[in-house]
Order: sequence, then C-alpha cells, then structure tokens
Amino acid sequence: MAIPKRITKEIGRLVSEPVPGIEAKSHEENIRYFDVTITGPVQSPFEGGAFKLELFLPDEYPMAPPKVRFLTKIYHPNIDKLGRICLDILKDKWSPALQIRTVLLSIQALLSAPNPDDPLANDVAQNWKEDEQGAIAKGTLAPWSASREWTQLYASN
Amino acid sequence: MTDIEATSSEETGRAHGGQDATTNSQTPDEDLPLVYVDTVNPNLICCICQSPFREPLTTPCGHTFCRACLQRAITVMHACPIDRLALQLEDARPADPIVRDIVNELRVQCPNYLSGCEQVLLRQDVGRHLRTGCSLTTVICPNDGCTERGPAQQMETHVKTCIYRQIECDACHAELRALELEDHRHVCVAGDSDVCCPHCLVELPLSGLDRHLDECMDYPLHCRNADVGCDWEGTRRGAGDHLRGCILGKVRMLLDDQRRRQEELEIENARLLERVQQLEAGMATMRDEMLAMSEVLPPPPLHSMPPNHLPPTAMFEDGVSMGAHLEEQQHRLIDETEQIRRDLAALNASVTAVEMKQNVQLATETIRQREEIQVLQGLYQSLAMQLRRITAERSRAPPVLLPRTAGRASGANVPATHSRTSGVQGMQTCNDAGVLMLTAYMLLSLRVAIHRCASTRNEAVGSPPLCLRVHGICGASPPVKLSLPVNSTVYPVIL
Repeated sequence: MAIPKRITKEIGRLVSEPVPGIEAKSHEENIRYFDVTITGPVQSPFEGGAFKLELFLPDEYPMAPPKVRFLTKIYHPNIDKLGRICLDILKDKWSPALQIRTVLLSIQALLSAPNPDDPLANDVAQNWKEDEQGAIAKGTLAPWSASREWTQLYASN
Repeated sequence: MTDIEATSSEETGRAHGGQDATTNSQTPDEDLPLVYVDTVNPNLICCICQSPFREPLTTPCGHTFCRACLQRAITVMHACPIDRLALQLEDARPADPIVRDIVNELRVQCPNYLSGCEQVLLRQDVGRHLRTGCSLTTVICPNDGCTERGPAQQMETHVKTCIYRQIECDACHAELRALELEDHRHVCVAGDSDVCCPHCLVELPLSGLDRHLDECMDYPLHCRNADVGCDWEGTRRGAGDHLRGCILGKVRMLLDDQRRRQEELEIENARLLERVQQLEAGMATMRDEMLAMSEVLPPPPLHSMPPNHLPPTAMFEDGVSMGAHLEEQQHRLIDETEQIRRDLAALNASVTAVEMKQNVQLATETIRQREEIQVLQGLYQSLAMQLRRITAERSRAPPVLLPRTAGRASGANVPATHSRTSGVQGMQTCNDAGVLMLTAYMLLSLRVAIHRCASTRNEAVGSPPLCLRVHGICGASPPVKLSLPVNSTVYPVIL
C-alpha cells in the first residue's frame, strides 16, 4: 500500500522541527512504525527518566488514531503494566486533524498531569491519590514516591 | 460576478476530473503527485491531508478542509475534526471564493515532471495541460479492445496503425476492426458482385478474378524469348501466333547450347589458370632454394653426377653436378642429425638416472642428520633445564660462596638467618658446584657436537632452514653468563 503524502510530510517535519523532549524515528523497513523516546517532564516524578514507546500508524490513519504503547515500565495511574495508555484522543476522541506530534505532546502532558480519576491501573490510581492527598496534607511538593522509584529503576540510563 | 465564480468553480471541477481520467482513475485526488513550486501559506493547508486545500469546504464552525478529506472524516465521526462540534457534510459550504481562487492558482509542476515535462503551471490548469498540452501523459489507446498505453505523443502514431482501429470495407462499407479485414474479404457478400476485369472488361465476382486473370485473352504479355532479345509485346490472344513465327524462338536452342558451352569453357579456363599459378609459385621457391644452396656449397666434382638428376632449370653451368651433390649432402646431414639426436637422448637418460640416485642419497642423509640433530637438541634442552634448576636452587639456598667456617672453597657471604645450617649447605654447594661444572662441560660438548653436525649437514646439503634452526643454539642468541663458584674463580659459560 502506498504511503500517503501526509505521513511522509509528518515524518519530515518531526525530523526538521523536533519537539523538545520527544524523539520519534520511523523504521526504515516499515515507515509506519516508530520508536519514540519521551523524557520525563521536569517537576514530575518522571523527571530524569527516558521512556521508550512504540507508535504504529494503521492503514486507516489519519482517519483512525495511531496505536501507542509504553515499552518502559512506568508507575502511572493512566498507564497499565502492559504499557497501554488511557488517553481519550487515542480512542473515541481521535480526530484526523491530530498528528503524531500532537499525540506525543499529549502523552508528555499526561506524564506531567496524571489523571487518577480516570484510571487504567486501579491500584496505582488508589496509591497515587493517597500519596497526593498525603503530600497536599503535608504541604510538600515531593509526593509520588513509587513513581519516582520506578523512574530510577527502569527509565534511567 | 456570479458568472465569473461559476466559471471558476466549473473549471476546477473539470480540471480534477480530467486529471483522474488521464492518469489513473483509481488514484485518489489527494495522492496525485502535485509538487508545489512555492512555499504555501500554512493557513491554506488542510489539517487532515497536510496539503493545500482542494475544493475547500468550510464548516459552520468556521473550519476549512478539502472536500474529500472532510467526506472521509465525517464517515468516521459526525463532528468537526478540529473542535468536535456536531457536523453533517451538508452543513459545510464551499469555502470563500477568494480561498478557492488562491489555492487554485498555486503554482505546481506538471505531474509528469519525473518523465521530463518541465512545465510549471497554475494548479487549475493541470487538468487541461494533461489532457491536451502535455505530450508525456500516459494515455490508453482509445480503440476498443486495445490495451496499449504510453505517452500521448507516441499514442498518436499508434492509433493510426492499431489493429483494433475502426475501418470500413471498400466493397460493402461495413464498419469493422482492422484485424478483421482479412477474414472479411473472403466472406464479403457485396465484394463478390461488381468487379470488372480491367483487361477484357468482363464483369465477374471478385472471388473469381484471380483465376480469370490467368486465362484472360486480353491479359498483356511479353514474348517468352524476351531474354534472348525478342521485344514483342501483346495480349495472350496474339502470343500463340507470335511464338510460331518468332525467329529468336527458332535459334533459341542453338543459342542456349552455345551459352552452356561457353560457361563450361570459362570454368575450365579458371581451373587451368589456378593450376598455372600454383606451378609458378612452386618453381619460384625451388629457384630460391637452389640459389641459397649454391652460395653455401662448393661446386661438386662433375663426373659424379648421373644424368637423370637434371634439375628442371639449368641456372648454372654446373647445374647437373650441383643437384646431385646437394642431394647427397642432404642425406649425409640428415644421417648426422639422427645420430646426434640419438646420442642426446641417451645422455639425457643417463643424466636423469644419476640425478635421481643423488636425490635419494641426499634425502636419506638429510633425514638421518635431522634426526640426529633433534636428539641432540632434546638432550641439550634437558641439560639446560637441569642446569637452570640447579642454579635456581643454589640462588634460593643462600650461600653462593661458603662462609668462612666451611673453608675457602668459595667466597660468598651467608646471610645471618641461615648461619645455623651453613655447614651442611656448604657441603651441598660443593657438590652442586661439581655437578654444575659437569653439566656445563656436557653442554659445551653437546653444543660443539650440534654445531659440527649442522655444519657437516650444511656442507652436504646447503639447506638454509636447518642451518637457521641450529643457529639459535650455536651462537647468535645473546650469551648467558653463569657464575660458577669454584675456587672463587668465575668461569663464564656462554650458551
């Protein structure tokens, strides 16, 4: 199947104007498959980590969302242990006006602002909420001990 | 104003339709390889296909997309792709004319730029250019049944000769394809009626014309003796009379006969000419040989020449004796050569035999000497090892020279820690010194033996590899000094 011009344009733009903290490289043998690395956002428990993801553009793209999954283990209420991401734009809120770039930016934002009210990993969300409440109660800015620990364990070089 | 807009939008529509038809009807519009010459304002880029708008539609919420892109997006989600407000395709209106005009007037390269068309044109003119202007557009032969495709300029010539092109039968005016004409001629009903023989003007069916022409009495003929000069021309009807009276026909047999004989004679003449040339060449070489011989050989005695050895040409006064002498000389020379050849062969054989014998002897000798050297080397190495061990032991056992209490057999000091056992050690050292001496002597003698062996071998064989192997032992390696504590005298032993 021919590669739509849009995909080649997107790849070209990812290379010529890369997003800070995000690196996406498409495979030579399959241009629809990308190796992605997102660096943990500053002032988040994922700071200092480099998280690897895989991204695949299905044949229906851009009419269907890309498939994205974390390959690095991450302790996040919206990411389960298989690396699947709970993000509306990757599911029912997908729009063909979105791009690889915007999807990856959304994932980066999700790392900055986890949403424990819409959890994918229930235990993590529970833990997270308690931790956050504890942190708020204590008035500190350093909660999310497990996430930080996992970042150190799995996402550090 | 409305007129102009209408024309412009119609033009756009046609342009796109034309593009599809002329390139590949299955290619979606957005995949047409349009290369924009200038950088396009990002506001004119459709966020779905990321290319400049094509037939742009604007939604009630104010967003603009290509028609095809929006159509596809709506089938997935009934909402605006940008703000997700509910949307049906019917709600979208054609974009502002100014937007459509701007995108239609973007400059693009001809889609055949890869094939070599360098034309840059407005996007709205692409369709027209491909249909009529670009000679490189791939087109399909318009004739029904033909699958030929190629650039438009080549197609023009193809269409004129295409076997699927429509033509008309001359006789019955029926429409048919070019490849069917041949078969049609045989069955054409109309063609079988009104044909008129061009010579006798008889009307007859077309199918019978060929046969009629073979018999038509008004058919124009030449005399059959035209090849021998008769220039009679007439119809088939008059041919019989002419032939009966044709003079050339009467002498024809005679002429034919003469011509045949002439050909035979020509062939024979050529053969004879060839033969003469061969003989002349042979004579020339013989003459040359004889000249050469006469220069080399002295004139032979006249009386020994038998008369039947006369050479074909008597070039010299003594030619008779010359030939016979030459022959005799030749025989003698041949005999001598034979003899020499036989001698040479015998000599060769004897030389080979001697060589082989020598080789075998040499090989046996080499093997024996090599073995001997290996044995000697082994011996030498074991002795050297023994010597090293003893030296090592001695250096571990402190007194290289005996202390004062043990007499003046040696002159080294004993460290204070070992003073208790120094007497016994002194005795041992004495013994060791004896053994060392002995070993060193044996080593020396061995070395000499190896050296001698090697040198005799080198003399015998002159083989460098073995010499090199002995070399390490017999001198070139750096000399090792061993201090022997015998009567306080140091004997250097060079290994």
